[in-house]
Amino acid sequence: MLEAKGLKKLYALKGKGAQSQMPAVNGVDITLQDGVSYALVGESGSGKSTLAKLLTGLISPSEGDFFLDGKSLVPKNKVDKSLHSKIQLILQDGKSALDPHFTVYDSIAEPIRNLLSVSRLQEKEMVLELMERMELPAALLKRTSGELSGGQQKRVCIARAISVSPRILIFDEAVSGLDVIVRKSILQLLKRLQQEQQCTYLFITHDIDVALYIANHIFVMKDGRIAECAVYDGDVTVFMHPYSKLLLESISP
Amino acid sequence: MFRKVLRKPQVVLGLIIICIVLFAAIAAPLIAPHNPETVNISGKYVAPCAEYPLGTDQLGRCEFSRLLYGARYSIGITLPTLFILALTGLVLGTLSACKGGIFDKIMTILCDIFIAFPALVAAIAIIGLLGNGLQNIAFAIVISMWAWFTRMVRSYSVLEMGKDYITAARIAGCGTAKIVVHHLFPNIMPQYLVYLSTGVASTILMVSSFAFLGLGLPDGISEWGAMLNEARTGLYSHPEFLIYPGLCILIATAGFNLFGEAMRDVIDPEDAS
Amino acid sequence: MNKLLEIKDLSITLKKENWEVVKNLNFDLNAGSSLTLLGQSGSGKTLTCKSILGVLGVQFSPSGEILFEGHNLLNLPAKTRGSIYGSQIAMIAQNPMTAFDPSAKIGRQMDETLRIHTKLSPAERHSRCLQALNEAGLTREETVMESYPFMLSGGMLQRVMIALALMTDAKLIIADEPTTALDVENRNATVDAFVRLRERGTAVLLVTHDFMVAARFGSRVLVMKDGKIVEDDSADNILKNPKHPYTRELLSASRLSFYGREEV
Repeated sequence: MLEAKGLKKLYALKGKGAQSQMPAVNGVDITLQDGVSYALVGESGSGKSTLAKLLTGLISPSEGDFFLDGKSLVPKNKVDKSLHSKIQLILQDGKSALDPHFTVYDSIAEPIRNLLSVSRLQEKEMVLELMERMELPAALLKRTSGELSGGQQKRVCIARAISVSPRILIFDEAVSGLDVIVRKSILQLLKRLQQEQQCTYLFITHDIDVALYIANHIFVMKDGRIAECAVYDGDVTVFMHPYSKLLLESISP
Repeated sequence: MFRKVLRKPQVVLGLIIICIVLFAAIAAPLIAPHNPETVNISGKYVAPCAEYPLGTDQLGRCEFSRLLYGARYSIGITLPTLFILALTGLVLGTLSACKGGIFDKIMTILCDIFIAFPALVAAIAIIGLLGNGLQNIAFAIVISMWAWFTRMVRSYSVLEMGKDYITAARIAGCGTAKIVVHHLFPNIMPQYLVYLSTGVASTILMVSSFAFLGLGLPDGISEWGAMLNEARTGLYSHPEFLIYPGLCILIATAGFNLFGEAMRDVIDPEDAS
Repeated sequence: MNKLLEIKDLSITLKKENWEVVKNLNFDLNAGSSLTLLGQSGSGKTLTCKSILGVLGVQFSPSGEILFEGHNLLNLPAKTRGSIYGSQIAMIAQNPMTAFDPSAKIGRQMDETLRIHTKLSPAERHSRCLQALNEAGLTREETVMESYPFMLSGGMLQRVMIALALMTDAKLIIADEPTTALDVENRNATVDAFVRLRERGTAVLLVTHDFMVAARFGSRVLVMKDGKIVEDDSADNILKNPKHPYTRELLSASRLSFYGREEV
């Protein structure tokens, strides 16, 4: 179980002195139970991406803490690699998230090499198995990201993230920008994966249609805070917050 | 990509010139008809003939041989110097961009200071302190130019660091060293190589300029810049001895520049896509 | 019913690979009516749009006919180009944020259009601008006129573009992915502005990949796949009863939460 308490991230506004700071994340308390799918929706500027970066250890919080099974995960001094093997992140643009010079094999093997201690042989087996689970032909292993389609790039990114068997997967607008049909197949893959891996999903998206499809628990974020947490089971009236209602309106014709 | 590169006439021309210069530098002892240092006062200013293809200068030395050996100095000083500059720039620039924070700030200020110093003044000061010698010329060039290379690499690196795949690499557990070596180096190399190629040209010019001013090299040496200097006395009587080394400098730098600029045109549009 | 736009056997080939990206397209648009081209990336909808606007790149070669009031737009003499594009055919760009001059107020940019194309007095121009902004669905028209582009949201800028199109009295307005660059909140308002355009009697050709945009716009929809039209029906029918398997696939992928929550 992941618990975040009072997470804050403040950015200093340039040229306005030390007193003037803009909170990107302004006191977030959030609990993620194991194996559950969560979605986080919010308008741009609500702090969703910053929260994702905080939870994956890319940036440090100005205040607050977060715990995995009771143990604090905020990196104290050095980079805490073990955090990355527990919580992984998948970014929005598949193409730019892959090093253009790396082959698919190297891209997928990279987290395995850095975060797990396995032999080269085991590594190869793991990569091949991941390709199969991603429904990608092994022949693509020699290609570079520029030689893959948008959907294939996304699958490689997912393979990288799950290679270390993380407890929590955070998706930062991970299916925005994909064609709807490709998007659907990726989301179906993710649903299947979750059943197999039993990991927790946090799906950050501005598209409530995607949120409602993939998750049962929907957080609404506004101005750096969690404004609403609704448990969705097919009934859209559980959403009370005006922003949620606005989003729902946008997907009805 | 290489095929596309070779299709451009500037690249081919540049490459040809570079090859000629390199060949002259390497093969000078074999193809030079005479020893470039051999003085023969009685045979001064001999007209071009079979024995002396470009004639002899005011001290009776074979001009052609001197020009060939001149290539050795230009290339011989330039390439190692450039190598050191390239390496320094690469290491300091990438570290600066990667680490950020205080290290980056200090590095930036240092670079600003060194760049503000005119290279020539720095060179004169250093050679004045350390005395003559090829190593000291190289040292002077490195001191005056390292900041340019570092700053260039830093700006390429900062650009790459902002890209998603670096964030993804961090999350995949890469430390600073791995990010720099596995991700930054390969992705900034193409642009950096272009920069280095034109850097060769500047360095050749610097070496020649120093030699022209009489800095760092012993008298009488057959370096092109030094030859230019010596030929000044014969400006009106034998202007060709100014033209020959001048042309050599011009062609050598042009060759490297052409190659570098044409490579940039090939690489940049690829990068843009 | 007079045909404003007639596409006859339009094919667009990518010269380098001799690949037909758009294959024998045929459709008509009557004056005052509207049409949506719905398709994913690679369907050929954008290229079709570009060929009508005359901005197809040199790497493509079109064949067939694109008749606008009888003129074939594919081999238009330079003289007639100016009189058609810009005055009779107007375009709404995809990214409104970059379509405006960032250093000039909206009012001034709108005024310029009228100054070039009409002979109205400054006062008349001003009131026309206000009227157009209002028709495009903007309130506080005066404030909008006094604003710089960066002060307005993408959705508002898009509606200013529609207002500009309204002022030109163009017969046909072509909008290529007008909602794609916009926030979710602004999309509906923008589509509604296009509906108002249509109601006013301007022919609208809307190109989009977003099923829900096509549904909200509510006109005849041509579903495109791999350069061909696979379904041609009203938006309502397609939403309730899609016939072609691709359309069905598209529909279920576009409304995930309505159709597919339980399926894996």
